[in-house]
Amino acid sequence: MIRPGQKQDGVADVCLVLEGTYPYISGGVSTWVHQIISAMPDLNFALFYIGAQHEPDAELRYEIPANVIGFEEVYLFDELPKSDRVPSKLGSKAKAEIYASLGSFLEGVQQEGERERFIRFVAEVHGRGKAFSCANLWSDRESWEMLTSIYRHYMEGESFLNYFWSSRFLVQPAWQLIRAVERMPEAKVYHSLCTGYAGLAAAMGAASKGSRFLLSEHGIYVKERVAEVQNAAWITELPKRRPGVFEDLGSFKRLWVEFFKLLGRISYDSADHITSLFGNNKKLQVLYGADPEKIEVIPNGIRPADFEAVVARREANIDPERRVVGFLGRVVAIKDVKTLLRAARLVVDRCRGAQFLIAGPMDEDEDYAEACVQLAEQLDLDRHVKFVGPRQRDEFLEEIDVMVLTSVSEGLPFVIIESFAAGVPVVSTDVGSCRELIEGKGDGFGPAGRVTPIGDPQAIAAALLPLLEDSELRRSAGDAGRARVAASYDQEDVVRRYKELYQAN
Amino acid sequence: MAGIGFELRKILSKDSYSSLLRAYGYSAIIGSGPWIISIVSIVIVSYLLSGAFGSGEVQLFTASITHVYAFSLILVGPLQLVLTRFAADKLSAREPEAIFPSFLAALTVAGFVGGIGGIVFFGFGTEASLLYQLSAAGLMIYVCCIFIASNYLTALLDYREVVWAFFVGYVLSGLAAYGLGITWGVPAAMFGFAAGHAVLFLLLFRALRRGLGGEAQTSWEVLKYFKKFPSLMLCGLMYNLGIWVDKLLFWWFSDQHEQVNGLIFSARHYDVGIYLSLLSIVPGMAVFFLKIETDFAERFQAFFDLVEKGGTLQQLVDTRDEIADSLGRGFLNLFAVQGVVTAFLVVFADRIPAIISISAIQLGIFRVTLFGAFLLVIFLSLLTILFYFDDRRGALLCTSVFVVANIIGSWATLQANEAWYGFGFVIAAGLAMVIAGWRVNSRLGSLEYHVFTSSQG
Repeated sequence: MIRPGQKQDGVADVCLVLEGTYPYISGGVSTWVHQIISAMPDLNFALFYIGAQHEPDAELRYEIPANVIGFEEVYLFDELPKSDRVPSKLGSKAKAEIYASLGSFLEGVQQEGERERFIRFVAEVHGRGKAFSCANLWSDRESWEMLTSIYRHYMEGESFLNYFWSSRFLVQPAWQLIRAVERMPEAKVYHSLCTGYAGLAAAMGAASKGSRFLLSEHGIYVKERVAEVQNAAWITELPKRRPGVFEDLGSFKRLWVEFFKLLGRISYDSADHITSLFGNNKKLQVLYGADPEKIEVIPNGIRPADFEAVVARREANIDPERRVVGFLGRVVAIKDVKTLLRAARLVVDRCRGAQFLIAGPMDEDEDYAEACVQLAEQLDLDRHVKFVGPRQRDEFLEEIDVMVLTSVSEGLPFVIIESFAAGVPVVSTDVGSCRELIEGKGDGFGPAGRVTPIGDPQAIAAALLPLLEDSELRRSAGDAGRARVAASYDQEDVVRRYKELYQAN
Repeated sequence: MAGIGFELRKILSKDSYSSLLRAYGYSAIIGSGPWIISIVSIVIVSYLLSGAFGSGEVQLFTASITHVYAFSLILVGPLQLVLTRFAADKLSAREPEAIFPSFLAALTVAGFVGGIGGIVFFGFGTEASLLYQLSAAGLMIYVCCIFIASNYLTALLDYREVVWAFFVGYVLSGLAAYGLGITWGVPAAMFGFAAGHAVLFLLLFRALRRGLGGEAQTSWEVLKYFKKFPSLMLCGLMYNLGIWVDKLLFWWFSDQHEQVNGLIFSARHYDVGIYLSLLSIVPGMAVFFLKIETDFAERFQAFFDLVEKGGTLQQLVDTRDEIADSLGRGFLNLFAVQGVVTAFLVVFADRIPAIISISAIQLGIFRVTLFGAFLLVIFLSLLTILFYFDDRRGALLCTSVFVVANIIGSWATLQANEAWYGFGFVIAAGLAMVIAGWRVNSRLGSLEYHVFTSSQG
């Protein structure tokens, strides 16, 4: 199996640019990446992994397939190399050129040609090599003039110390990335799985190597970061002195938000082609600056054949008296398990035989999981709700009659497609592409379950009850789901479409 | 969800950025204190003893002491600024207990260097009695150690104890030299003088032991600082060399130079003239240390406090301007006070021969070098400000110019006649002052820039 830093033999067909995901972190995106690589044995892949800090004992979560021929990584919050911690001596002409191009980029932010100006600056930095170090940005007079002028424009009244160091922390990871572009595996296509740093890296890599840049997003990076910044307690803000347009966000939070939006715009602008999992995400991408012409919606997919055995076993063991609701996912706040428990109480009140199985890791947010267990006790649900921990998917799908999803945020959840493939109807909150999945967009198969508002136990219970009580309804919904998955969420289609994108010119 | 977002927060576990700001700024009295005291004591002791001995013997005695002071300052100079820096950093890192062990290490080095230097110079370089040679070498050890100790005196809260130590030490040195000298001659006087200095050193040591705290165990951690700040070493050397190099040149190469004993030389005309004028800087130094430095240090600290408390750029710029204004006023004050003193002395120099015996040539040199002393006191003050700004490059530049200009200038005047003596020193002090002033001015003009850009995380 390939190791990070190993010399790459030849040019890869596709370099996947991965930020905090495959092959070190498991999750939806990683599963998807692994599927794609495995499903295209005739293409050569390379991996460019972008992590926060290097951990020598980090384990690979996946067996990397043999068609991966290159693997490089960069850690953005590691200490800069020594050469970048000491300012270089630079001729005044060279300095003027570098800062002119940086200045042109900064002035052009949020304007036409923003991306081109950035790429020009990166080329300028690369051209200078070690003769221009990151430390120059914190010691050159020209840089200071820029920093203070930005401060005076946008941050006046804020702590200058916080501003100075915020800018350093903002720029340093981007700098690490600029430096790492030289190490990026050679490839005909750079395929980034999000905007952000990975999108920036893919943009720079494609520009410097004259390759194509394909951008795919499962979630919407900018939106996720904005939420993260809003909740970040560590971004120090002074008490408000005067109300402003951005009353909800302090200047420093705004600085971070603008930074991630900028990364998003550069990514969208640079990408030759963009894919999105479902229609609503495409709208968000357009909102954050993507050209709708470039966007193609390609959903996630599964292989229906993988589920034939489950379907068969389910058919064979039909028990009209069984009323089991399943939840399959991590027990964390974003999945809103507490609302599920409150809904369970209401369901059990009306339908005595109902059971709830909550399957999934409880160790990711232990406080939250503990609170859920306590809530179940308080609601007197001991006999009706079981926390069963991580479970094997196929077995679990055999044990349940309805799948429920109460998340406050989702993309295109595999758990719904997989439930459908097994003939299990789904009740889900109206997040991400769940409505599209459950109701179908006029594909004629009919509803495969019900959609409810977020955080509404009454509505969830009201959606679950008919499915539990009416076995005919359950059956028709299950069939609709199977038909929909077979028609629109077949992995073969997904793989074929991505292959076309990889091999397009 | 893909993306590392800003996991940075884990790395930046501190809740403020202020811990990333390196608070520098330290006083560096560059041994000008001990240097002035030594000049005063030489003048007084030689005046006292001139009645007791023949002039040749007095000359050997005072010239020996002058050599001891000069060599000690030059030898110990490279250590002083580095030690001060180490102590300042340890204080700001809240590890004051690390200072005393470093003091012991410095004493070991200084005592060793002083001892070797003293034994070589007086043992092989003079033809005098063994008692004299040993006493002079001993004096050199004590003086080196006193100069090291005086670095740390600013850290002591109780100034009275320090003043008392110097008072007792010098009175004892003078009395012992005088008392032993008139009974048993010059070697005994040297022995008494050295013994007085030993008492002074012990008193200072005791005060520092009590005032600094920490374990009485030598720690060589400070050695790392010599590697880290070679410019400070060089700066200390240059400064002390600059102060003495014109005298050395006159001792060795002037037409009127006299071989006092072996390698000990003197140049009567130049020595008397310049020592007298150097005494004139006492009022200026007092104005600087009592008025400018205290006020400046307070405002400078306030600047850093403002940075940490989240001051805006405009507030920082305003505070910087206030510092500049107050420094400007302070230096005007210094100009005025020292100017009056210098003018007074130049005008009334004619009356001096009526008080102490002084030749016309000496008087001429005195008048010329008075201007040099005026410039020197301003140079020294500016240099101290440069150390607060951590402008090591600037400090090295102006001290180096001081040395080089003093060598070239003094050498050139030696080729001419007595009318030109002292001008080399004046020009050197003037040049150094101009450069130091330029550096202070440019640093001050963009203080916030330097404060932020020099703290490379």
